[in-house]
Amino acid sequence: MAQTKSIRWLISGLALSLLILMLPGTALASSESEESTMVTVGGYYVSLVVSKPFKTGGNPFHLQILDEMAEPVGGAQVKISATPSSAMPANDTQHQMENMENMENMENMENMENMENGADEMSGMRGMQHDMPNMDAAPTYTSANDMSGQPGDYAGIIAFSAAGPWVLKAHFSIDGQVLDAEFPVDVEASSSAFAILAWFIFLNAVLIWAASISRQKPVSA
Amino acid sequence: MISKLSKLTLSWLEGGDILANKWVDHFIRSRWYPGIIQWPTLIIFVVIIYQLFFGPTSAHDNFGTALTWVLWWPMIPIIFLFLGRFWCAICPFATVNDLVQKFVGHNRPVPRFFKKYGIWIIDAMFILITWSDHIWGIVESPIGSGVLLMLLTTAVIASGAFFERRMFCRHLCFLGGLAGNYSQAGMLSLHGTPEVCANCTTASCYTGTEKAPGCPVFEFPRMMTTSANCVLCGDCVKNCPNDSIQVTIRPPTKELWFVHKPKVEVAFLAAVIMGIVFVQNVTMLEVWGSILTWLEAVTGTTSYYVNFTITFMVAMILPLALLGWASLVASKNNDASLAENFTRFGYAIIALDLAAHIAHNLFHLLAEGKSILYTGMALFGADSHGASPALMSTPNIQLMQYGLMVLGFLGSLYIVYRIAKTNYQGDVIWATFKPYAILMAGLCILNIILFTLPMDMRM
Repeated sequence: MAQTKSIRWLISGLALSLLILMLPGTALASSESEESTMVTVGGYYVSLVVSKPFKTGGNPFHLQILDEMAEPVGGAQVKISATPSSAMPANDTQHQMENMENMENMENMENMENMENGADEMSGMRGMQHDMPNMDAAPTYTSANDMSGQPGDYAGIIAFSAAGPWVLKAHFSIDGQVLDAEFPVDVEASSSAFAILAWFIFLNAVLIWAASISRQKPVSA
Repeated sequence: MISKLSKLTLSWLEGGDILANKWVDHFIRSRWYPGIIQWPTLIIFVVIIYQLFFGPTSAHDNFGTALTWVLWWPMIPIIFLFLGRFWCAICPFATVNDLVQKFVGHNRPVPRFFKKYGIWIIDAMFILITWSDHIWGIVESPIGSGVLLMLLTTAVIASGAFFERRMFCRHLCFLGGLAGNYSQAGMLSLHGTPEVCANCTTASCYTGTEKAPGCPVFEFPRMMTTSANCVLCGDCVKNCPNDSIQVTIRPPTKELWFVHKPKVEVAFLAAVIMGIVFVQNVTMLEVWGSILTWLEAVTGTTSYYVNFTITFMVAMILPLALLGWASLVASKNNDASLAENFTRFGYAIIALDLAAHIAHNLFHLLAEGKSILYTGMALFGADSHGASPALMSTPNIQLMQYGLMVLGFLGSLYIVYRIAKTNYQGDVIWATFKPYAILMAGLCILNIILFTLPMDMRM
């Protein structure tokens, strides 16, 4: 009897601990911060600006391009690729860009056309992902559009299919000059997935806790 | 030893008791059964949940998705055919239910509402989940699949915490409804020995003993006339003081030849399952896009919710209406009411359901089977270099699908014949048989046509 009582207290304690642990975890999941990373390529300053850390799924980003005089560069053709850093050597630009060129010739080109109107993600390119070497984290592509009214500022959405280290590569052409800028990024598991699971764990913990404390004590003889 | 085993094997095929084999008997009676299979299953379930929530967001790359929808889901009807509801004995939801119940369970009686309408709730849940899958893309989204599994887990925890035994499994689990139907066509049957049970005064199989709890799904082997609910957990085998329990092998569909008290909800589910198989097939066809475009033109809306729901309803209503039509025609020949015929002969669709369900999922299992290996390898950093996930070529899979459909058709046809023969005599047997034979042929041909068309992959 004493053992059963101890187990019930233990269960109640564990359930309560889970509830307490879930609260900061959920709060942490919703925190945001803006980060900027700058690289210099061919005399241009290229900055990647994200409002919150990259997560699995679609992520909005800004790319800022400034010239040597720190003046914004508008009208550039910008394409972005994201590749898991384990999937290919970091300097394998040729292969990566070939993929991007191939992409332009694919039937899925209509997806690209849609992007021209709003920087949509290319996560739907399953057919292409099937041919990619790393099943766990398939490369994705998108384009970044010149934001009206803010020259030199390009916006887009890039999708990551898995957590871990990735290389985000900006491929842009300015006045016929083709340049590449690389940004190593760390992608975290989607906080929405964490929040959903946390919510279920919370709910189940409440159920177990409620059952534990409301359970009728056996009547002693 | 060899000769003894050979003799026993022959006896099994003749409907002998599997428990007559001392190894099987010891294993079922041991405290390791079914735990030795239950616990690894629970661990795999936890891995699946983790992968679905934190693994790759693309279903194509997700190990959890591969295990759930490429391995488990296609295997489930095959398990029901060969082993009855054995899966339910080792199901992680059942394990979670038992665990929660053991420590905090209130063990309240099952509400009368669930007892009375449980199977209708199961029918409704099954329809709702299938509809939701297509509307929200549950299978295509790892998180969607994760949410579905967590919703079920929550329901199971609530059930285990407050109600007795496996209330959820018996009265609410949508898969339990499917399992109940398919296991009636299954080859494994557990039951008491009537002459031994007749003298029993303990009813330990139902109430439980210090060796094992009472039947988790509220069955009393002494009174059992169907395998629809028995999960083959072995608790009754452990508890019975008279060694009355037998586990026997029988020809597939045999139980459906002699259904004493047919229930309209079971017949309804049988027809609905056929509709669900239609939906699964149609929406995976490469021509589904063209069908949708045509529907958009007809309905005047591009809303997928509207157009899919119409397709879904047509697919659900079609087999129900066809069964209704066959029952109406039969009622003119056998003097039974439409409802009586619908209920009685609806059971015959189960064999065709099982065949169509296995055939549909055979494509996923055999055309995408290696994705389980590839996504599993990816967890350890290995990649598949874009290799094909197929275990077998599409023409060979299609050949197997056609073969299965023919077997299912013959099974359904024979069930109709046996039911008609049990209930009627002379010319009435054939007059009743004919409309149902046309129904089964129609459903079989429709399925075969769908299997001939190119289908999209799940992964």
